[in-house]
Parts: sequence; structure tokens; C-alpha cells
Amino acid sequence: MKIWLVIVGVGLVSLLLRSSFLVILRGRHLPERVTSSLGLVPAAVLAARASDPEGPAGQARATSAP
Amino acid sequence: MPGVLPFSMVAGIAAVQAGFTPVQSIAFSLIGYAGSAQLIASQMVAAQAPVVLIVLSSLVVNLRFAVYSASMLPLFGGVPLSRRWPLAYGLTDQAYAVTVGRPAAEPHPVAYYAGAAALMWLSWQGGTAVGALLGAKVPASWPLDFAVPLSFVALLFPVLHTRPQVTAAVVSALVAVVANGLPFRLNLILGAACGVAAGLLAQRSQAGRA
Repeated sequence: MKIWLVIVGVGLVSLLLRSSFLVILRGRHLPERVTSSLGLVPAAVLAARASDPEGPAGQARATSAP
Repeated sequence: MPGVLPFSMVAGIAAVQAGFTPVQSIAFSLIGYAGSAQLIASQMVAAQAPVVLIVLSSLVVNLRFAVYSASMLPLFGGVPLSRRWPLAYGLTDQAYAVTVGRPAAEPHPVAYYAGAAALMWLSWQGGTAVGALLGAKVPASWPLDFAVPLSFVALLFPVLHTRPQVTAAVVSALVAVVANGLPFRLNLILGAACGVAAGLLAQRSQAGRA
């Protein structure tokens, strides 16, 4: 039961975050300052993910390996 | 996209090793469809963390999707609401990076994104299903983990076009490493926030010189 709650909870959170602006703010224009800072987001997020010294995969396998 | 396969297999394996059945692991991948959040949730399930804490952690790890969503907004101008939901469901780091780095002359950016998202979805679901079905049969000595950072390095370089973007990437990476001790992988959020701030400063500095 707990695992199904986790599955549904994580699924809901993920979908709401993904659709937050695409659905809620549809048709509205964002200020230029916001759009220019958004242009920096992919570089910043992907660099953080690439450099993560304890990537989640390594941790997950290390902690759960027999 | 092929780099996603080992990453997704790791997600499937980690879930089964954490106590998910193969069916639950595949369902998690279909419903959650968020690599890092799946891996972290699997870890936390194995550690018997409360459900609320697991969901909150996935919220923090997936905050970047809200930023991606905002960034993709101009692209979806004429797309009806009924099509936005499935397109939003397919929003991943990989689909986003491929779409942002698309050729400037691409006449159908939404179709371009949909194609990338569909390919990514198939790769991810296939990989996690294989991982879930193999489960504990895969030796921990198999070097699958390397695929995670490498896939992000491969995605990073096509989105580095300007000096502010390079500044944002360098600062973000440095902060993420230095702040590694923070809980709930907040080092990633902090790194990205500092990276964007540094990139904005670089933008201002460039504009001041022009």
C-alpha cells in the first residue's frame, strides 16, 4: 500500500510541476526579464546534474545492493 | 537517447531492490516518469522513510520541471489545452535539452519536441521494464551508473551558446559539488539557482559593455 501511495504521490507531483506553466499560464506572456533568465536555466540545471558527485544512481545501487 | 537506457535500467533495478514488485516498478516508471525522483524515492522506500517525506523530496528534485515548463511556454502558443497535458507529461531533461538545442530554422518546434519526448519515453519505459524484470539478477559490479552523469554532460554542451550560459553552467556545477552535503539533493537546486544568478550578472555585464 505504501509503495502505491509513493507511486501516485510522485506521479502527481511530477505531472503538476511539468504542466504548471504550460497549462496554468497558457496564453500569457512572461516579462522579458523572466524569459531571458529562463534561457540560462538549461545550462545551469544540466551542469548541476552532470557534476552531482553522488549521483542518485550510484547511491541507490550502493545502498540496496545485496 | 541511447545513453538513457542504462540510466533507466538502473531506475528499474533500484526500485525492485528497494522492495517494489516488477509490476510496481514498471507502474512507477509509467506514472512518475522522473528518473532522479524514481531513484531517490526507491532509496527512501528502502530506508522506510515516510510517504510524505518521499513525495516532498520528489517535489524538490523535480522543481526543475516547473522551470522547463515556463521556458517551453512560448513554444506552445497555439497548442490546445487537451494536447498540452500529454505534451507536458513527456517533459524531461532530455526532451527539453534536445528541443532547446534544435536547429534555429526548425519550422515545427512542437512536433520536434513531441518526437523527442516520444522517443525518450519509449527508451525510458523499455529500460526500466528490463531493469525491473532483471532486478536483483544484475550484479552490482556492472558499471551502469556511469551513464547518469554522462547523459547529462552530453545534453549540456549543445545548450552552451553564449558566455552567460557558460558562466551559469560553471557556477552551477561548482556550487552543486561544494554543497554536496545538503539533504534531499538540495545541492542541485542551489547550484542551478546560483548558476542562473551568475549568468544574469554576466548578461548585465555584457549589456553594460555594449
